[in-house]
Amino acid sequence: MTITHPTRSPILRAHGLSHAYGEAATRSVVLNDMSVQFWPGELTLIMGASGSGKSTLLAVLGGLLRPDSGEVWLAETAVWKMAPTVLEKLRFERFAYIFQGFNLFPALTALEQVAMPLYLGGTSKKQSTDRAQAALVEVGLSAHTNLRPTELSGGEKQRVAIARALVMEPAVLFADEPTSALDSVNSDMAIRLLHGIARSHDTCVIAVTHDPRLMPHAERILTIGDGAIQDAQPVSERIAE
Amino acid sequence: MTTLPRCNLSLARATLLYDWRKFLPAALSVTFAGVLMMVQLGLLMGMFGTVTVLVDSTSADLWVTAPGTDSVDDTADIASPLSALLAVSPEVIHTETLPVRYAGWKAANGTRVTVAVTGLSPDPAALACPGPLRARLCALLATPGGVVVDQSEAGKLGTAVGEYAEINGRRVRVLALSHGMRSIGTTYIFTSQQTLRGLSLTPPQNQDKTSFILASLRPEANLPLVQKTLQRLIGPESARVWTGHQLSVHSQRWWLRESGVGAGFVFSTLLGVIIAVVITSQSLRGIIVSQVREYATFRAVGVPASRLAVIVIEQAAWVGLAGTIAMWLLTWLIATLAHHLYVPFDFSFDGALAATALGLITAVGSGLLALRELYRLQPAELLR
Repeated sequence: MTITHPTRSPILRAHGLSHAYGEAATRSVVLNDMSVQFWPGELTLIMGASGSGKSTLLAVLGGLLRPDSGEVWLAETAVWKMAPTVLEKLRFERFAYIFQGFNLFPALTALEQVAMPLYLGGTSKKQSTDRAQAALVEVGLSAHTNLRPTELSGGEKQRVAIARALVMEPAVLFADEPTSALDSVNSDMAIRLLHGIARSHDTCVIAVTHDPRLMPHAERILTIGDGAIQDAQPVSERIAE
Repeated sequence: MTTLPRCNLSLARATLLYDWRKFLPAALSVTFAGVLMMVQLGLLMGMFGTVTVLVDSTSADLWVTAPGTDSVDDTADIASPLSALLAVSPEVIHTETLPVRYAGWKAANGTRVTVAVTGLSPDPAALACPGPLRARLCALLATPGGVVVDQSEAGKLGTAVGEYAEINGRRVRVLALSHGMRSIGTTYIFTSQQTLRGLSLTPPQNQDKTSFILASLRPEANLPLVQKTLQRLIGPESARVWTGHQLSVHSQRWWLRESGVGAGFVFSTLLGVIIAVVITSQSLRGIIVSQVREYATFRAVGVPASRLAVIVIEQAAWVGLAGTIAMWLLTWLIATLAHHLYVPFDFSFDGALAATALGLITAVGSGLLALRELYRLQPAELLR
């Protein structure tokens, strides 16, 4: 299914993605010749039943899982033709991720959690700290920079995880079930933050979710099933329907 | 103006400080492996150091022994006239014979012990006069039939100052007690060469034989050169020329080898290291496994795996450093305690450096073993 956008060209495109797990009798096809595109400045939700291949699609798009066939392009760059170290660099410079669970190091303060990946990737200490500080301010945690995960609530931990993604200044931000561990108030906060990041940073935000409460915040919703895209309407059209 | 928040961007140190309890077993296993090695080494060196007390307490520059001598307490006789040959060298100031004869000791209370009767010159300046006897006791030996025994051996010999005893059936009298002339394996009795002759411990045909010849050189003499020259002069088949230090080291090493204790030491040190590697690598692995999702998150955003490996190795190195510092302190404490309890314990600085190196290698090696846990979870698996 081809989706067009009235004004802009997509930042991320995938064509003919196929992927299966297992061998022979246990083989199960998760992605079946899937093609899809994503635009900057938009929040796209990937929805579908459990086992429909949402997370696999996210991993393939995000340069974390090599598909059996097909290709992903970031602008004009073919992601899966890259050497592993070049791909690593591309992920560092253009991608960011928010995973299920917050994956925060227990020993680090919020500021250190956010600054650490930048610093380890080769950014100077001063620049890493400054950018981390700014990211924490943006997610509303300026008063919590010195707190460790045990001193933060679930919603605050997720905001640290969002800041850790935001600080990378990614072209594409991948989020896997960003609200699954949160109550409704914090879910609302998290999705507003992600949407805000898409708008204000012109970032392409792609979130896998089960949570129908997020739908009104997205520009676009992809519904996948049986390894293929079943519906890819812009939300405006879907709501109109 | 607000102060900037504290920001420690060393993940290794931040984790160590925060989770120090988890690292404690690893550090302690490094400490104990090191202490095990140091205490064994200290006791062994303390013990075997006493074997060469006779060599170590005299001021002779050169020692001449029978060829094929392995240890100072196990020698054959050499010809006494060799000393005249040594004196030919212009670098040699003084030479002296030192006979040591094994004999049966029988104390007044009936105690029987095999002793090494050592014949000294009753002269405080004599080359063979051991340091602890030099001030007073060597001169005292001019008294015919007089002997000196070490205070630490007096109990074993069943004697005390002023008491009589028999050596080879001849009566001797204990004139005084020395301090610090104890040796494992050999009980030294010091007497004059004249008294020694009177004890008839040497068969008549061996009267011109001695156990050692000692020589002192001019202060400016080139010791290795003189040693080599004299060895060539005497010939390798008649005797061997050593520096005191060489004879001492050679004797101690021989004891370490021959007694099997050296092998025991290497074995138990190795065992300690293996246990330390297992405990340390398991602790470090456990810590990585508990943070494997966080590490995978960093790998997902493109932090090179080599940077994360450096963090793990850095953690391991800090653990090793902490462990070895604790090892130094504990070993020092044990050495102090041993000193107070009169247990022969030699703190070896070289040994401590080796134990430190071994501790650091153990820790870093364990870190390397734990490293593969970093790859246990691929970033894509965070998305399932």
